[in-house]
Amino acid sequence: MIRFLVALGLALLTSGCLTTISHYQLSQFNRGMSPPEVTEKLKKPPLVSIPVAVDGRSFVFDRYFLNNGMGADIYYLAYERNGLVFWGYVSEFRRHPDATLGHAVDKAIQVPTPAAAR
Amino acid sequence: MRNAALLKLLGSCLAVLLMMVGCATSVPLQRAQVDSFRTGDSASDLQTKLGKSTPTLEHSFDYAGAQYLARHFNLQTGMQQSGTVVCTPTCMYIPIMVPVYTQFVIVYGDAGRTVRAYGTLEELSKSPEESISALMPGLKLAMEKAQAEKKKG
Repeated sequence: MIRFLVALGLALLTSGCLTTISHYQLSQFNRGMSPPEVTEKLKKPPLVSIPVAVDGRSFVFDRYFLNNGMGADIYYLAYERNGLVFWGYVSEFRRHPDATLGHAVDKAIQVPTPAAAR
Repeated sequence: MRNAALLKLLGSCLAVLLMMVGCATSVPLQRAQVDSFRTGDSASDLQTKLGKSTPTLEHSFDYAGAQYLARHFNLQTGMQQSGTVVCTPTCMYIPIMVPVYTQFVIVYGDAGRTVRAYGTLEELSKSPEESISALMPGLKLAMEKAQAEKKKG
């Protein structure tokens, strides 16, 4: 019984780690990084990659859960021409001086996360 | 007997306090200080604004043929409650308020004479200003090297 409870506890603890990224990891990113370089830093793939076309530009938005200490928030990494252009919460994208990024994230948030990735 | 317990409690509190003082090897920055910074400030003006705050790490790095100086600080962003359990012999929880820090960097250009940029590593890395975000890969590499050297020395 104790073994079962320990295993269950460990499984619950690690399941959170598998699907979320942490705040300290955000300072490791640099603009222009490729998706594989970012995945290597994060040690985990995105929940979903969402291609978005806006104003004649093509982006890919990678969606992650960012651990906020109490739970997790949706966090995006945006790539253009295979290079990282910006990363942040939805609100940060909307405040970005490049308004196209704000319009693009509004399209990306409409795409649901596949149940298998949650 | 009661005095001995009290002494033990005071001793434990003092130990925790000394541990915390021992950890504080640099004087952190406060948000009010950061609010007074301006890009283009001279190094001496900024030093006045920094007051008693001390960097945790300093290193130079190159980008596009120019040399820059980076000074890293702990920016205090808040406080959180932590605690310790002291048993004398009955156990009690002693709450302690612990500061929360985030790494903040000031980048000096013009041979270290003027402030080129300042912010957290994340803020500078994703700056919409291409000339700022372009500095960050080189800065981070030099930072890792300086950290390793500091650990060794």
